[in-house]
Amino acid sequence: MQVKVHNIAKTFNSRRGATLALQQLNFQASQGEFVAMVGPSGCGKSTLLRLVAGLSEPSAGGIEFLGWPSAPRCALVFQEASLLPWLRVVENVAFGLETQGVPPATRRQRAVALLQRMGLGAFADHYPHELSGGMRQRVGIARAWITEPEILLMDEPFRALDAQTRLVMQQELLQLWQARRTLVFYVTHDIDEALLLADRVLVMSGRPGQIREEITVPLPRPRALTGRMPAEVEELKWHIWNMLEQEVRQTLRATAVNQP
Amino acid sequence: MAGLIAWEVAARLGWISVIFFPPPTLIGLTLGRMLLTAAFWSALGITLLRLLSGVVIGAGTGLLVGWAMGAVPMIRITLNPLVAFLHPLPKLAIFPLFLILLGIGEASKIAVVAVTAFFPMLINTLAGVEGIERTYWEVAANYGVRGFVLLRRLIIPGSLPLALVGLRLAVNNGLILTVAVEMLAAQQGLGTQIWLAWQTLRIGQLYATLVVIALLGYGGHWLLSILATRLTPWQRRIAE
Repeated sequence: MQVKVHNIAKTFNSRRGATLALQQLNFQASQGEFVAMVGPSGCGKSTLLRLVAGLSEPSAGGIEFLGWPSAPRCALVFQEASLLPWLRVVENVAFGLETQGVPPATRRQRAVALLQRMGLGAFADHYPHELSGGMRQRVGIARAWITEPEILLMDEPFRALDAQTRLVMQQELLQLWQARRTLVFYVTHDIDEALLLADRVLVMSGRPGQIREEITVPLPRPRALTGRMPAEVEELKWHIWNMLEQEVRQTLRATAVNQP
Repeated sequence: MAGLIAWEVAARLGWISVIFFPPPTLIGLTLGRMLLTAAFWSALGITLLRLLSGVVIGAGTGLLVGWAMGAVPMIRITLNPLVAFLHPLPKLAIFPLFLILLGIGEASKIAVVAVTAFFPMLINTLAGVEGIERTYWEVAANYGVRGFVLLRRLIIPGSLPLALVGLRLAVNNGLILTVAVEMLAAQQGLGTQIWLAWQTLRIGQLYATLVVIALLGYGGHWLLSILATRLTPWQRRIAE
């Protein structure tokens, strides 16, 4: 089972003209893989995720889901603050189950069970605004996870968190994923995070976004998120960083020329 | 409070006309006496009945139409010009029209109040739906939430805070129009009582009735605040 993205382009039209966000973008990923995407800001990483999620249509090219009996469920974990403020935590988690036809009692039971597993059992009947940022983001992950998606799309899910909370959340995410290996697309601007979590890192160019290089991470699983990284991974980190630095500089130059 | 005391002193010392500006204590006394008459309570009852039936019919319809316009683009595009066209009409000015259509009974009075309550409710409910953050729509789309579940989980609760603002305006405007219509064309009611008091120059009664109407407005505000806290517990409110 594979996802095949071929020659995708995405143009946004506004009053000030058309912006080409993605161009000639190609990659493939297989079931069970954890794929991270890094790139300079504005390179279209989020746009790419939204295309895979089916929230918007590509301007050219296409996305194929090969080998799945029916269109796979893609659940998107949003950047931040995407919990519905008028639903209690447990209702937010069960949100996606309602359309799957799960009866109310079962919905609640499953949501509570997952919340307990994630250490949020005591907050099931709270409203989102009563939770900390990290807890809210965990609820967001639970909401996606409970629907047992074939593809999990994560758009910088831990961006707004402090370093310690982020580390714990990364560990929790890997634990969940270890138990049920789904295909994950994980967008981040943090190179360390990409290398620590992913099997493969797609490095994107500046706008219009393309895949500049694919890097396989030579780390065994299960992974330890703390401690020193092996020399070869450190090497990869600097390699990616150099690439991104070039892209960022190019983007800055291009903006300077376009907007005198 | 200081204003009331100044008024009292000025009236007692004869600096202002006691006929037109009776001292507050005298108004209080008139009010007290008024509260003991059966006529007052039946007037209050009929005014409340007109107000409530008008608001329930008008605001209820406004709420449903607002949700429908918010949820279905076709309905919104079709009805928007109509709303823009009819909303600015002074509701009191179309009262004669209702008299022709519905006769001089209760129906025409309630209809005017209903139309008055309809527009603020509709406009605020629609604004409430339109104000639901884009992210929430995307969450719903991503989880395949459509139709009735979308209405129940997103559109209705998301628009509720503004819809409640609409209800507050609907009740207030409804009260204004109820009294106005009663002054124009009713045999009974608080509005009738005001007009009668003016024509017979019972100024104390005039003021006392105004106090009652103001209290009605205040009571409505208070009840709606409680309703809002009950219905939208996720909203953090600025302490009043």
